Amino acid sequence: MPAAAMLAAPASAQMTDSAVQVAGRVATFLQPALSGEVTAAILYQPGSAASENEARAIERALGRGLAVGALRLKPRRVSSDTLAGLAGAKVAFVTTGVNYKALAPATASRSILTISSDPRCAQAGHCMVTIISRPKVQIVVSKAASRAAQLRFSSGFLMLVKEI
Amino acid sequence: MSGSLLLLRRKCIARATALAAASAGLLSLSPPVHAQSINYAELEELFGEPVTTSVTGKPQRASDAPAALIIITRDDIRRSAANDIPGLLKAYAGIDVAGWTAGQSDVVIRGGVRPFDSRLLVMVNGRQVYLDHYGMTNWAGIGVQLSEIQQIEVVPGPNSALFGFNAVSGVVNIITVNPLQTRQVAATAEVGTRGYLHVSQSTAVKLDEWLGLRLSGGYEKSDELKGLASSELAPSGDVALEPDHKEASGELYLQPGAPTEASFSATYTESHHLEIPEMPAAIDTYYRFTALSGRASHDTGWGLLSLRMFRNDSDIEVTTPMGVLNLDNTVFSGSLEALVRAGSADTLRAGVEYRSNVLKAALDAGATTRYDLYAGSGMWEHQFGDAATATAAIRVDSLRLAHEPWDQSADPGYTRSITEWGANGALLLRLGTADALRLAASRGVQAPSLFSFGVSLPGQSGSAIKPAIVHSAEAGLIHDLEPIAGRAELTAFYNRTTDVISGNSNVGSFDAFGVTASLAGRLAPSWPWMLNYTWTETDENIPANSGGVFVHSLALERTTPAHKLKAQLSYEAEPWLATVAARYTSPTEQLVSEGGVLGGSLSLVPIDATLALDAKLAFTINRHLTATVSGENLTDADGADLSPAAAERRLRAGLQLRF
Repeated sequence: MPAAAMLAAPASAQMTDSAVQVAGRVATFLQPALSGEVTAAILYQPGSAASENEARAIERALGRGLAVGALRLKPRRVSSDTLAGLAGAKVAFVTTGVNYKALAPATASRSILTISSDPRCAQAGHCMVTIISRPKVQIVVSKAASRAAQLRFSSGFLMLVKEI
Repeated sequence: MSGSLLLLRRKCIARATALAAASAGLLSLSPPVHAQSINYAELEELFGEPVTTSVTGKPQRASDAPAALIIITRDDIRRSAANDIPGLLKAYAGIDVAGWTAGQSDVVIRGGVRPFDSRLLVMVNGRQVYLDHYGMTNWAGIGVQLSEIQQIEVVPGPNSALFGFNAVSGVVNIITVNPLQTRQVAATAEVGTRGYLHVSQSTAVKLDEWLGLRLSGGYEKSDELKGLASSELAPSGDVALEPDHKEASGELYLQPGAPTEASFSATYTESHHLEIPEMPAAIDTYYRFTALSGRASHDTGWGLLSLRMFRNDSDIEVTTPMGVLNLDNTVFSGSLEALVRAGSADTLRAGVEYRSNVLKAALDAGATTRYDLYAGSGMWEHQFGDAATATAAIRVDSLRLAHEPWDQSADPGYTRSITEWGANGALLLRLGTADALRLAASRGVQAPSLFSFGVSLPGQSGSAIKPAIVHSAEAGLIHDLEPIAGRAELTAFYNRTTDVISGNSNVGSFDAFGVTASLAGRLAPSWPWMLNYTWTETDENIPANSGGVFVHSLALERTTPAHKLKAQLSYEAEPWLATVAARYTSPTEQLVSEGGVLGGSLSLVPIDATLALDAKLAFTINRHLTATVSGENLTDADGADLSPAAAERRLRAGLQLRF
């Protein structure tokens, strides 16, 4: 799917199991690379069925910890109402339905890699990465969000994805 | 000079001339080794498709590369019935693999089948294994075991703008596993009919978080083709030889910090076999090949900086009825490259390379032919949103040729300089979510081999030889087939080569055009398959070859099969793996030399249309041990190797231990 089409994808996009696997691999291309056991926050909007469902799906996909090379992502559900739960997290899955703009300062100030299946989040510069896994893996990286979080991916990786 | 010495010298001259002729159209200049600080295994897992740097120098997903790229993955290798790299390649569209003897194969892309094909650049991790002395690849001595290959990248068509003079009909880049990313210990033992024995091992271990080691070695032998002795390629005299080769390779990988990595490798190979040079007569050849290589890359944040160096030493002994001819070739290359992300839409690459290439021949008191080469290259890629990607690349090579000792006043041409440029341009248009159109054009440069430039012998006139120029255009349509997790691709190509090189001369022109169509996917998760068809039409204009008389040992329009149809089906369900592959090749012809001697009069012999079947059955005994039985050319089709020497059915059985 071309990135433009991807960015126009419906807001109801949900992160699939395969997208969670892709997200885990994406995290290994940060520089310096993430390794060891890393907390992956799953940010959801209480009361939003779509958000809560997606959070549950992501949590299920991560299981007791998703191992990718030397990295192991350990899930932690975090309500968008209680951002203290982000403490210690280095990765955050941002579910569709949360207020991206309101969350962005909290994740950026903690240098958290934010990943969403909703293209609008990266397009607005509130999430670092958008992932669509079907029919073909497409990854969009937001330069603005990367700068805000003071994170960067390896150059080789950035040459393979869409940077906006 | 005494009469006997003069006679010996004349024989050597005749021999050398024939060998030089055998190297027709050969290249000698070579590629920059470029950025490979790419985590191939991890990126393939991430994107669900392989990643390459062999098309433009920039990391690209296979589906985004502006070329009719073929990537043979570890899974493809595991499923194949082949036991060597030419055997793997022959299953793919647009590729002819000719097996002349039990130890010698030639891989030819997009037409022009002949022994010692000089137009294909072959590399291992970006270091050339193509041999500059003749301009050919000794596939038996490249120093890589199948079990340690991460992927094999095949880029059809000229790619001189990236790799320099040697990449004319295409590029094969063999990527080995990186021990910092992939850990394995693998050992293989196989026996087979016709005295076949193969043992090999490969190890990739991470010694520390920042230090990895890859070690491999192998030995292989077999009987000579039984059909060789009764063919027009039969060696003259009483030559009986069981070809064998042995290889050892090691590479140390270092990653002292996240943005910086380096590796140092050493390879040693020996191979001994009968081979058929361009002048089609069997000769007994012994190769010793040593390579040292170092590479380092640094991620600067704005891009990648890469520094590469390698040195290849080839020591070749050719035994002839007149004695042993020794050829020593030393290649040194140092290159520096910067790959820069310039905004979101543009990528730039700039590189420089220095290369020295020296051939010492035990003729004429061990005189040397050498050149020093300086090259600069650049690439620009621009993405027009999601709709299109355009790529333009150019490389200029300038070499200074020299002979020592040489009577400069008698032939001042040997001290000349040659400057040539290669260019590639491509446009990839995305026509929807599943379709793309690829348009590409290129100018490739094929330099004469060092032997064609002229071993220092009076009477040879390689000093006047020019590089051959290849102009190429192609168009391709790609369609992703999501329901079968597959892809369909249709490519039309046209290549025109002027100043075709044969021996020490430029002899004419050669055109090749055709179509390749390929389909691949999975009928079900356990049933991967592929099907491809290639039509190739060739036309040559070599004025000296007319009326059925061949002055030059070239008959490119007669030796390339017009039609090839290849199919492969596998079934995978633990503990079983089964593969069947079929190849149909239309009739063709090959040149032979009367009496099987160098310098004999040349004529064409027919090669029948063939249907060859290969098969493999593997059973996983436990998680570490796999037993295999394989067969190649099960139909015993004489023409399966495209050679006047009848191909034979070969059966193998083996065990593979893997941790």
